[in-house]
Amino acid sequence: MIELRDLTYVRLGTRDLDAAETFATRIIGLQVGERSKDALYLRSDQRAHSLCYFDGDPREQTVGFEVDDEDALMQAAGALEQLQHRVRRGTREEAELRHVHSFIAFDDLSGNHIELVTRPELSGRRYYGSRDAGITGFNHIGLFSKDPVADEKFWTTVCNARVSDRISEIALMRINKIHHTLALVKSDRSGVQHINHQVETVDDVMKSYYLLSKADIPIVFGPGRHPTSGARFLYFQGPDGMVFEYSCGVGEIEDETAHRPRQFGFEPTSFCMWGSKPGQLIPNA
Amino acid sequence: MTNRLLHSVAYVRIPTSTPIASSRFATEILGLQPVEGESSDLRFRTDDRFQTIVMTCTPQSEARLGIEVTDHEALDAAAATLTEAGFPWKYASDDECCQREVKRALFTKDASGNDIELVCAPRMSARRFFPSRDAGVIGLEGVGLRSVDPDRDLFFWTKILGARISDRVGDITYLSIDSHHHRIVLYPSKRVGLLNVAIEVESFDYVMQNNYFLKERQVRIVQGPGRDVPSGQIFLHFTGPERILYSFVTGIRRFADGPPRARQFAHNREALCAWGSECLDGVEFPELMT
Repeated sequence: MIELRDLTYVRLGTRDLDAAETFATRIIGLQVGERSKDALYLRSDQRAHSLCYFDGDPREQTVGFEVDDEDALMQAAGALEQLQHRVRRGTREEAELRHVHSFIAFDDLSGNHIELVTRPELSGRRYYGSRDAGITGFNHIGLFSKDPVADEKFWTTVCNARVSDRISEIALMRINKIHHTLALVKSDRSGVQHINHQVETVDDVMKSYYLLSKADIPIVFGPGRHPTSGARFLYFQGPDGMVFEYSCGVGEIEDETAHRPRQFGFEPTSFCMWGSKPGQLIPNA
Repeated sequence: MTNRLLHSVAYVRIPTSTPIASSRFATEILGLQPVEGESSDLRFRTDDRFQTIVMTCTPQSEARLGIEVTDHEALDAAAATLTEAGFPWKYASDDECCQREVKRALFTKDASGNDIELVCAPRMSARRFFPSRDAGVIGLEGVGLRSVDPDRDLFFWTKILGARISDRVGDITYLSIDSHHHRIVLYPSKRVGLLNVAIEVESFDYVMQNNYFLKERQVRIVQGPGRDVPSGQIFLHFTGPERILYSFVTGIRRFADGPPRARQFAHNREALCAWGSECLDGVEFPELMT
């Protein structure tokens, strides 16, 4: 089994790095770790970076997960090749661009680009936001899935993810105590469905709601509260149509052995217990 | 140290010219429990008391605020101090006390002319509070009052009735009479009367649930959801029939011995809401604007 330890980074292509930087700093509140002519590294916590924009096609989206070491990486490569996934080992230059020691790249069953990495770098300096958004760190992502049932099987049998709860076929999966690090959303396309950063308090969620509304940033969903994780959230739209989320209070699964995933129906209150509607974020909800 | 004279906000009496609409609003929107029985008033519960929000079918009159005093001696003491300070007052008649479900009452006015009723022994209900919908209502929290004579009104509240100033935002003054940061807020205004009736709900979840519920029912939200800076109280202001401003509130700061020394905040947007919400009706409610 491939033991995923942590969700490490998201890499997004963009044709306008300046716009991405402005949005990431002024709106989201991330900190620029590093900026070159064709790449922007953004920090949200102690990591050297958790979000990277590179000069390229916005449809080029990659998610990185950390594994223990070289052995784990080799075993993962072997397991994936056995399942007919094409596995590519990253070059030294590519690893440096990702601020990791080494990595392998493959596509999941829906065509999402996944990288397994070793030794992702931390920074010596703590994260200090570009605005007082209250960000405590990059937390989780949603992934589009052409076949959520098959994808769930991959993440939970080939990898070590466990299902915490389901909303219809949408599996909210964890790789550690955090309620979910990965959520699969049915779609015809692949790619990153949303990128979540945790914030300190619900005050931060509400402050951002008013600030972003005033700045005419499209509010996609919320402010709301997920009945699944208990988190208070706000989803908003950024460059290239990517959806970002702030949330606070994502619950933890304390008892690994005893927890049984709950089933919620496919209706708006399963996504927000307060009454906010998910709109296009969850197609057909 | 809690106040010796005043005990709690007992009720509000709100005049209505549209009793049917007001009654529907109180049950369907506010989620209050109607009180059964013969009365010319429309009576509603917010907690274990017999009646707290009362709508009176006397459209020409003004809203009246009922405050429970600690005991009968307190009522007599208030009468004496009011006389001494030159504020008009009279005892309520037996019928008036009956109507209000209190043992004794005294009617007075603050300097602005707001009708204030001091009461003894308001009736408790013998039955559990069962609201009309799951709005999370747990009580009548307090009120906002308009003031055309802030200095003399403060004299009335603090020197005569013994309330404490907990904080100020500009000249907006927060008054405390128990462990809550405030129960009454005085807003300098060009007119007199009740500004808002604050209804406490269980938690922030309920403020937000009510927010979306009100939006779906096309109830006019005037401000919020927001967070009051001095008290930390989360609020949602909205209007009902007759343009009365109601607020669902929760999370007010509480102090075992009453609030500490009053602080002064500048009267700007930042001090009116910690989250950045703004009043959307500056014409009807200029008191909530900067």
